[in-house]
Amino acid sequence: MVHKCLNRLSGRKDLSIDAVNAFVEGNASSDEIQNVENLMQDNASLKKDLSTQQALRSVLGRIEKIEAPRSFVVTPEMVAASAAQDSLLSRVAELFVPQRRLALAPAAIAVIAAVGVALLTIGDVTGIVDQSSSSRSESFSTAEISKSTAGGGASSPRVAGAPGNPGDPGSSADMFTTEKASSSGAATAAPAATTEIAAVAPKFDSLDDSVAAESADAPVAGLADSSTGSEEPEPPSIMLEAPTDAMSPDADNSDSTVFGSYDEDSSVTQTQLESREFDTDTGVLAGDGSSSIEAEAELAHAQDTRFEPISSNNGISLPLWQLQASLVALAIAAIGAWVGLRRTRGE
Amino acid sequence: MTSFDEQRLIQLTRDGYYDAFNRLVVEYQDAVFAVVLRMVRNRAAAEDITQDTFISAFRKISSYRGGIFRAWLFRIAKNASMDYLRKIARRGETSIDEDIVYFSETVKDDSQDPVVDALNAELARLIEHCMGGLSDDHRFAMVMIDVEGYQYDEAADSIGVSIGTVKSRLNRARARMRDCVQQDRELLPASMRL
Repeated sequence: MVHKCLNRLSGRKDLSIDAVNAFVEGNASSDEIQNVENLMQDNASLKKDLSTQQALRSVLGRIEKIEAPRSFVVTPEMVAASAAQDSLLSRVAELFVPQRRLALAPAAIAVIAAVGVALLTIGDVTGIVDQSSSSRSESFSTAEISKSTAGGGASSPRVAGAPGNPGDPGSSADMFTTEKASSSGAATAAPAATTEIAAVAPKFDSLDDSVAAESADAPVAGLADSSTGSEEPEPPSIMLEAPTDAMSPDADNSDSTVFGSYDEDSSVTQTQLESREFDTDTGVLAGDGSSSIEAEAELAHAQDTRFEPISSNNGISLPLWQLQASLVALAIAAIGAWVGLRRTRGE
Repeated sequence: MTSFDEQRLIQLTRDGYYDAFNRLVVEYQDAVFAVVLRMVRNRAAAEDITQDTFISAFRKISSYRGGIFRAWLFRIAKNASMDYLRKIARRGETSIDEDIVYFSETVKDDSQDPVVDALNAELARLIEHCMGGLSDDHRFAMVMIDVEGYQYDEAADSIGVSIGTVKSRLNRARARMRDCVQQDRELLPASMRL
C-alpha cells in the first residue's frame, strides 16, 4: 500500500503481480507488455530482473520430466493394511513417539488443570465444594454425634464397640484405616460416652501441636495399654476435662481407642487398629446385632457429615477462587508452552 | 482419457472396483510421483508417499466432490509430502541438501557437446540448490507451474488456496530463485547474466 502511494507520488506506474507473472510467462496482453516495457526503459534493474526470471523459467521448463519408477496400483491388501494402520490405537501410539513427549507434557498439564478448574467450578456451583460450610457442618456433626452417642450409650455401653454403631470406635478405626487420621473424627466417635464427652470433642478438633505435645507429656498409658491389650487403660490428661463418671470401666478398650485418637501420630492410628483387632478377638463385637437399622443409618449420616470439617480444617485453607485462578493460570501457561513447542517444531 | 471416462471410473471406484481405480492410478502416477519427488527430493520417500497417496485416494474417494480429479490427487500428495517434510525437519534426521544424493534434476539439451552437458549439469545442481532453499509452499507453486506446467487453477485446487495466492507465491518464489541463481553467474545462460 505504501509502495503504491509512493509510486503514485513519484509518477511511477506500479506493476501488479499478475502483469509481472504474465510478462515472465509470455502470456501478457498488449497493454501489459506496453506498460512493462515503458517501465523497463526507466528502470534498468527491473529489466534485468524480469529478463532473469524469463530465462530462469525457460530453464525450469527444460528440466527433464520424471516418470514413475514402478506401478503404484492399489490392492485390497494395501487398503486393509492402511486402514489398520490408521486405527485409533495406532494414532494414540503415534502420540507417544519420543519426540512428541515433550510437547505432550504441557498439554497434559493444561488438561489436568482445566479439569481441576471445571470440577471446582461445578463443585462450587452445586455446593459440594464450600469451605464456608465447615463450621456449620461441625456444629451439626457435634449435635448429631451427641444424639447418637446418647442413644448408643444408653442402650448398651458394652456394645459401643460394635460396628455400625454411631459411637463405635471400631467404626472410627475403620475410618482411620481408609482416611487420613483425624483427632476430632475419633473424638466425635467417643464410644459409650456421655453427651459431655461428645460436647468436649470439638475442642479436640482445634488442638494444635502444642496441646498435642502436652497430651503426649501427660499420662497416656491408655495408648500404650491399648496397643498391649491392657484391660484398664489410663485416660490421657486431656480427658480430665470430662466428668470422671464418664470414664466408665465398661469403656475398656473402646475408650483407649478414643483417647489415643486425640493424637494424630501414625502410631496412634496403629494403636487404634490394634485396638479394634483386640475387640474382635475378644468377641466384644459378638452379639452386635442389637444395633438397629436406625443406628446404622445414623452412622452413615454421621460419617458423611462429621468428618467434613476435619478435612477442611486440616487441609490447605485456600479460598476457592484463588485455587481456580491458579489452575486457570497453570492451564494457560501450559497451553502456551505446548503451542510454543509445536511452533518451534514447525507443526 | 476423456473426462467422461474419468468420471465413470471414479463412480466405479466408489462402488469398490479396484480395477477402475487402478486405471486412474496408471493414468496419473507419473504426474503424482514427479511432484512428490520434487517436493521431498528423496526417491524412496517419494515412492512411499505416492503409494500412500493412491491408497488414501481410494479410501477417501467418497470425499471427492467433483472438479479436477488430478488436482484432488495432487492435494492428497501435497499434504502427505508436507507431513513427511515436517517429520524429517522435526526429527532432524536429514537435511534437504543431503537428499540431493538421492535425486538430481537434469536439464534437457539437444546439444551433443560435452561442455554444454557439463554446464547443464551444473545448472541443474544450482537449480536444485536454490529450489531447496524455498519454503515448501513456494516450492510447490513453482514445481506445479514452472516445472510441471500446470495451469493456475489446477495448482490452486491442488494447494487448496485461491489463484491469487498461487500467483503471489509464484512471484516470490521466482524472485528468490533469481536472487539465488545470480550468486553463481558463470553457470547461468547469457540471457541471465545481464
